[in-house]
Formats: sequence, structure tokens, C-alpha cells
Amino acid sequence: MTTLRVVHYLNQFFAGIGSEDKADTPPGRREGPTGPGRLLQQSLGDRAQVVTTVYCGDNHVGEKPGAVEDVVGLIAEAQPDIVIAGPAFSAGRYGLACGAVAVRARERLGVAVVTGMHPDNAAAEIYRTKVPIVPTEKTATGMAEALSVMARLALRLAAHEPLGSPRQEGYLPTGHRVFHEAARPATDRAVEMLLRKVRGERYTTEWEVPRYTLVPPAPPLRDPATAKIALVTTGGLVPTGNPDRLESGYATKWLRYSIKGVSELPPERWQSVHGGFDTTLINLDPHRVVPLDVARELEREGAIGSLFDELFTTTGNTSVIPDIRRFAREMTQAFKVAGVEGVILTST
Amino acid sequence: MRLEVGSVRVRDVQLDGRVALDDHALTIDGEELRRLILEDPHFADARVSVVKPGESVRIVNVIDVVEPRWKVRGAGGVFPGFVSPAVTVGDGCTHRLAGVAVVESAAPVPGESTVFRERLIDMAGPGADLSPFGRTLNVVLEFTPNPASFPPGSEDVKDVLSGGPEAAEYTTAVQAAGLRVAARLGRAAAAATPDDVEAFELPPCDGALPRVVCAIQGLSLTAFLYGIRVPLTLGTLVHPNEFFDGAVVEWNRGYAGATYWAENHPLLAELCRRHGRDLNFVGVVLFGGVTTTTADKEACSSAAAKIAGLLRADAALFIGINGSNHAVDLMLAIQKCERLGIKTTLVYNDVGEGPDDPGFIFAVPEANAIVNAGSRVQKVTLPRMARLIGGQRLMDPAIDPRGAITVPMRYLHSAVDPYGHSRMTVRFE
Repeated sequence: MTTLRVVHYLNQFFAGIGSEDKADTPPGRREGPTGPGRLLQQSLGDRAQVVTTVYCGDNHVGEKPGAVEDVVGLIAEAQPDIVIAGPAFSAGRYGLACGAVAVRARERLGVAVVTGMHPDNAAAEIYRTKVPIVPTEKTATGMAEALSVMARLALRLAAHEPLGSPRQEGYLPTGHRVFHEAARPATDRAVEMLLRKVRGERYTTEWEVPRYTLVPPAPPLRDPATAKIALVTTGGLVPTGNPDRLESGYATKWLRYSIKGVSELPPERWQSVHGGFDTTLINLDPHRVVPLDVARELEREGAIGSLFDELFTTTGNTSVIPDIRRFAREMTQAFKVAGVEGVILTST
Repeated sequence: MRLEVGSVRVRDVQLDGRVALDDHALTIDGEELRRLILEDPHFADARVSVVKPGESVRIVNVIDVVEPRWKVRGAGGVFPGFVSPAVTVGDGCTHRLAGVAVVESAAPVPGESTVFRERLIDMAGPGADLSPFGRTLNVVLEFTPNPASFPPGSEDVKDVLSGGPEAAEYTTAVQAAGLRVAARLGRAAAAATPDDVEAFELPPCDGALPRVVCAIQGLSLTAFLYGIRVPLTLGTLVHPNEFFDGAVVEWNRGYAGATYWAENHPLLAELCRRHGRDLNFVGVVLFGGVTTTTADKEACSSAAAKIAGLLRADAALFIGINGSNHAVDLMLAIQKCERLGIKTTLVYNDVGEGPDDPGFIFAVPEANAIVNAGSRVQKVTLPRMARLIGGQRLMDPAIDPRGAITVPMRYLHSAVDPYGHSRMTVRFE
């Protein structure tokens, strides 16, 4: 039996390079296991060998365009059968990196991938439907236990053995639906569940409701008269003809259009492609969804400091929550770089 | 209020010159039923046919499905408000033709609402296994509308959801005709000796048992109750026996629903059976309707919870609508019940597609006990059928109704709904 080749992905901290001050570390590689990679090797036993450790700083991989591709490029050089990322525990940026690297490594290299993180890590909600994620403790105290499950799943996947259900195998639910017939009709199950609940006995819901997170509003602007304000819309407003093909629903992207020196959005130049409402009135006057005309007035009057040079737009219709979260993250990053302090978000 | 429901099992239905029931074989007089339909001037003509399980038949444009019943003892009659006086029913004795279904099939008319309208029944193949009406002996009614019912302008529809008033009136006529036929056939069982009799009654019982209400959000958005079709935004209280006598007639334009299942409501029957043994069934809260504002949704959900509270319920079994804004009313009602200390369980259908879609339009954390009664968007492939009844096309003109088709499960009449009769479910992995 040949020994399977494993590449282990770590961030700068677990690779032993340094903590937050080293978060800009570019991608790099080392022969053999590093740090937690030694525990991983123990869990893998003699069926697989950690041949290479690839690492990258959390800021670098999250912010530098193309960084994930660079990381996967280094992984590819080691010709792995298996890629194991993390575990990231509750570290947000590390979790996102593990998810992105695992998804991309499988896409590009066709290898078995597994990652691990705490279920509350924001990246878990984004990536659990895409790659197997082993739930871990919040901190590295859960390292050995996590790696043992990750190693077991990775070996199964590399052997092309189908995984059992998340509950049986110990990974996060993937959102995959299995249509089947229950042993008993819904009536029996419902009455029994109700009676158990009212008696205070144990019962299990057949369907978990999604957890919505409350977003605390930012504090008010201290001085709007000096602030740079941006216009954002989920109303699907795009240049006429929709040159960049914004979807009318289930948007997978958001777009940015220059409004530098522009004071109006004439209907012959702009249109809404939103598929969730009657767009007639917006297409007669696009300011109904993006109030550029009034915003320019406020700018002239000095009520706001200045208007950001770009309009950010997407379609907020039948959107998938993880995508919309990504849009928010990407937009926010762009705003921070540009020094935008306030946003007027017009929805429909 | 005590209702004995006597089931007369029917093993065969034949079109013959008379309506009779003889040794579990029903003969029907197609011409008599046709005349019964044509009593209503909305129709220029009508056709009656019988289809049976195993036949290569697809019935399209299905409106409602009704089980034939007849009241043999007690106040009022079946389908009050339509074929009987609108007096309170649910007492006495009612016979049902078990295994028979009256299927109303009506092609769209000018001004027809197209929302949710696609419903079909296959009598053979996988569709017949999935829809309960692929397993019943079906008396299918087809209708030719009277053009005079549709003056110029009838096709103008301002409200896509409701359609034009003439179309709504016509559909009501179709349903009323189906109920007249169902009652006429049910009458054939008036003198028959039932194969079994089940009594439904909610007498006072052990005070220690949990007090349970069944809270039903109208699946057909606005059903007929005693022939009256008004939104039950503020809720109302109903005895389960009233359902069994046909006081609730589902509206075809709904999200789901069939009068057949209101008459044979599995959850209500089960709660009745367990009354006095495991629980104290204190009544049915019917609520819901088209609510277009936040205020209406607050009012609607508050009313449902309030009625449950006035009944001093300990627990509420909810049936509700997923997949549209009605989910908000339902979830708020669950939340408000839980806040009153009323434990809730919900029977619900999945409408999500893809792993990133959890399948809820809206949800509250208090909805922590849900029975998944199957997916309405799960795709099902149905083979070609030799014979087509009820029209030549589906609402979607791109689909050849006679051929092999792949459609969402909700197209198959009553294959997936939250009445509780089905074993279909979805597990999330």
C-alpha cells in the first residue's frame, strides 16, 4: 500500500512565525509537519505522511488578491492526495482562509480536503455546505481531538469511501437534503413531539431553524458635514443594458460603478434588473432607488462632507445569506480603504 | 357534540344509468351528475368520467378534490353553506364513501390567477404512489364555461394573486358543483351499513392531561367556512367534527390544500383519538389570510395566540404555510404562544433548494419542534401517460402535459402538504 501524501495548511501563528504582527506573512512552505502537524501525523498513522506544510499570514491571505491561488499553487507543488487546513478554532480570518484554501484545493487538484473550526466561527456558516468541517473547541486545547477526527475523515475521503451522515461521522451539517419516507406519517410524529415537549421530555426537532445574528448598528457619525458618504443599493440598478450581467435574483456578485462628477442618473443610462418587484417606476426615474440627485445637493449644501466616487450595487432578491455576507465583507473592506465613514443603503 | 363517521368501503365505481351502492360497488349516473352540475348557469357543458388506479391517465388543471359524504343523522347536512343549510354541523352520524374522490378539473378562464394553480394527478407510475389521489377511485368532473360569465374586461387582472372577480366566481361555481356531486354520491351510502364506525367526541376529561389546541393557518389562504369566504386574520374557533362534516372547503388558489383532507383531517382525527388518554383536545384555532402589512401580521399572530390562551392551552399543534410572507404570521404566532407558556410543535413543508438555503422564509428561535412533512420543490419525473383529462395544456406552455415531465412535487395534488397524512420528509445532513 502506498503512503498517501498530505499537505497541511496553517496560519502564521500555528506555523510558529509569529502572532498578529506577522499576519502579513506571504505564503510559504516547509518540508514535513510543523507545530500541530506533528499531532496530525500521529493521527494519520502510517497510512499517510505529512510531506509539506504550507502557511500564510491571516491578513495576507484575506486581503491580498490572488493569495489563495498562491497558497494552492504551493500546495500543488507537493502533489498531495489530501489537504488538511487548520483547525482554526474560533479564529475568524484563519477560518475563512482554511475554508477558501480547502475549497480551491479540491477544485484545482481534485484532492480530499478537510478542515476544522468552532461551529460559531463565521467561516463555518459559509463553508460547511462546501467542505467537511470538523467542529472543534474554541481554542487550541481541542487540537488533538480535532485532528484525530479530521485525519479519520481525510483518510476515508482519500480512499473514495462515502462519508456517513454528519452526525455519525462528526462533521458539521452540510445542508444537504435527503428526501425519504419516514417510518411513520407526520401526524404520529407531530403529536408525539408535542406531547414530549409539553411533558418536559426529550425530543428532537426534525428541522432546525436558521440562526439569525443580530447586527449591532454602528454609532452615529460624529460630524456628517466632514464625513465621506457612499451610496449602496440592493435595488439592482446598473448601466442600461446590464453590461456586467448582474443577476436579477440569486446574485453571486456586487458591482461598482463610478459616479465621479456625475450628479444625475438619467433613465436612458441606468436601469434596474431586480427580479422581485415591478421596476417600472424606478426605470422612469432611477433616483427612486439611488438618490444621487439629493445626495449631491446635500454635498453642495455642506450637509455631508463628500460623496464617495463609486456606486456599489447588487440585487437583494432571493439572495443566499452566505453570499450576501460576503458582499458586505468585501464592500466594507473597500470602504475602509477609501476612508468612507457612512453609507446610505437603499433597499427595495 | 358527538359525530359518528361511518366508512363504507368502495371497491369499484362504474358509470351506469343509476346511482346505487351494491356490495361495495358504486354505480353512478353520469347524465344525472351532469344535470346537477348544469343547474349552475356558469357552465355550458360538463363531462363526468371515472378513472381508477393503474390506468395510464393524467388529470390536469385539478381544482379541488372532495370525498363523498352524507349526513344520516343529526342537525344540518354535509358541506354546510353549499349543499346544506349553514347551521353548525358535527353532531350525529355521517357516512363516507371510503376510497372514492370527486376530482374537479377546470381549465383556466379569462382573468384566472395563475399563482399556485398547477395541480395534476397521475393514476399510474411514480406519481400515483406519491399523490394519494393516484390511489383513489376518481369521479372526474370537467367543465365547459358559459361564455356569458366572462364579459369583455374579465381578462384584466389587477391582482395577480387573486385574479379577476369573474374568474374567482367561476372557480367558486366549480367547487360548489363538485360539492353537489360529492353529496349526491354520498347519499348513495345513506342506507348502507358502514364497514367501520368511528366516533369523534371531546367530553370533559382528566384535568391533569395537557390542554391542546390545533392551530391551523389556512393552507388555501382563505378557505370557505360554512360557505363564507372571509380572511380569518383575527382567527376563529372550530370543533374538529365540523371539519369531518365538510364545513371547511379549501380554496383552489391556495398554497396547498384539498377539501378531501379537511374532511379527513389526519391531525385532528389523531388528536380526537388521543383525547382523554394522552391529552385534552380543547379545539381548533383557524387563522390566517392575506396580510400585507406588519400591523396585519401582528394582529393575525396575536389573535391566534390569544384564542389559544383563552382556551387555557398548554400546547398548540401548528400547521402552517412556508414559502411566502405567510410564514411571518405563522412564526410570530408560534413565538407569541411560547411567550404565553404554550408549547408548540409545527408541521411544515420545506421550500428550500440547495445546501445554502435552510428552507425557511422566516423563522423564530421558539420554533424548536418541527416535523418536516416533505419538500414542495423536490423534483419528480413522471412518465408519459396514454390519456389526458382536464385540458390540453398546463399553465406552463413549455411542458407537454401528455409526455414525460419533471416537475416540483407541489404540482402533484396533495403529494406534499402539512395535513399529516404523508410520510414524506426531508433529512438535513
